[in-house]
Amino acid sequence: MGVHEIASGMNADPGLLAAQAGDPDAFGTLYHAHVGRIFALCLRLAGDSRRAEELTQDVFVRAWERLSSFRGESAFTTWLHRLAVNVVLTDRRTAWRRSRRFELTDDPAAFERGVDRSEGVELDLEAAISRLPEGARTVFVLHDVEGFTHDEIADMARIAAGTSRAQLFRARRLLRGWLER
Amino acid sequence: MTCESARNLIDSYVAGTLAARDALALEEHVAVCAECTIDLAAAGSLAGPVRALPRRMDPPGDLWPAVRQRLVRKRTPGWGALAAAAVLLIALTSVVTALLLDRRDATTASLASGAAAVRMVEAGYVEQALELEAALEQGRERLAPETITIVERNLDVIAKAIAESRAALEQDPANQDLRILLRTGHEQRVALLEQAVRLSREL
Repeated sequence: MGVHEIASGMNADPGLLAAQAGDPDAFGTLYHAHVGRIFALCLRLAGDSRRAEELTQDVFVRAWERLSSFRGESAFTTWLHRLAVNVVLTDRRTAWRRSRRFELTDDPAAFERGVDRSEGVELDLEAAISRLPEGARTVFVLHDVEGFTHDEIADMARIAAGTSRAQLFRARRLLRGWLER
Repeated sequence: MTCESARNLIDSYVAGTLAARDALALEEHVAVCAECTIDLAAAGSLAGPVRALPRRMDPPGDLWPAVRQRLVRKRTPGWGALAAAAVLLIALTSVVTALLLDRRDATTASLASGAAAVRMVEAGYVEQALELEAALEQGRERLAPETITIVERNLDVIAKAIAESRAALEQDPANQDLRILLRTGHEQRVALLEQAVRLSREL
């Protein structure tokens, strides 16, 4: 099936069609339209600006490579966001295999370990999110900020949906505690 | 109501979308459950600030030039390059096989049986390819139909090249060049399958 056949069944955005046909400049337009949301997602998931910049680049390179598989069954934004989450979580799993450290866990008490609480420092929500342990931060960002369901998060993060729920409630408790201090 | 059921309702309650009967049941549970009181309060206090978070944040620098550079580099070696490689492989196989058979040394042909030579070269590759094919089958539905078509078309091309090399090696089992050619075909097959499986898992 050719690019134009793929796009014929969707809201055939000419820029998207051109990008699918291999036009990097058309893809640049898509990039500029979406980079703000993708960087925000990467920054919140990674908790680190420099890493978020690298991940944002990876997301768009991956999107370019996979663009022919976008068939318009969902909005392009939805497709791109899901791809971005997969890129970040895949990168994290790869890093984990290298470092053998990973905090997506069924043990809720583990959420609090290793957190720099910085006593007496008032935090805004963004800073507080960045201080959440990785597993709790991932679920909080994906569920409360990005609107993914627990089942979707479970699928993407390769955890049980119950674990996702437990992490979310733990994340909220931690955040509320820090913000009200 | 259990704490688990209550937790499942908290978000809808905070959003104001919970049916009145369920909302009442949740309130009754929360009135006697300290843990769920904390969870409800946390959800309620964060809902507004989370909604107020910016959905867009621009990166500190312009990332587009670096992304653009990687696009040009990346686009070429995709499926198109694999297809070209596969076509090249079969073309080379045909030509090289013909040349090699043409200058075959009849005295060396009897050094090993053709079947044994083929088995020696193919050991490991066949099992590896079968495992990858099974993995690809599992992730098949996540790949776009046109991607599957390209993968299958290229696997066919490679299979023809392998078959041709195998037949030639059976005729001339001592020919090292034919062994290399057969091994190259299997390596291409495994590489293509590995890439397809990787794609199906990443999507």
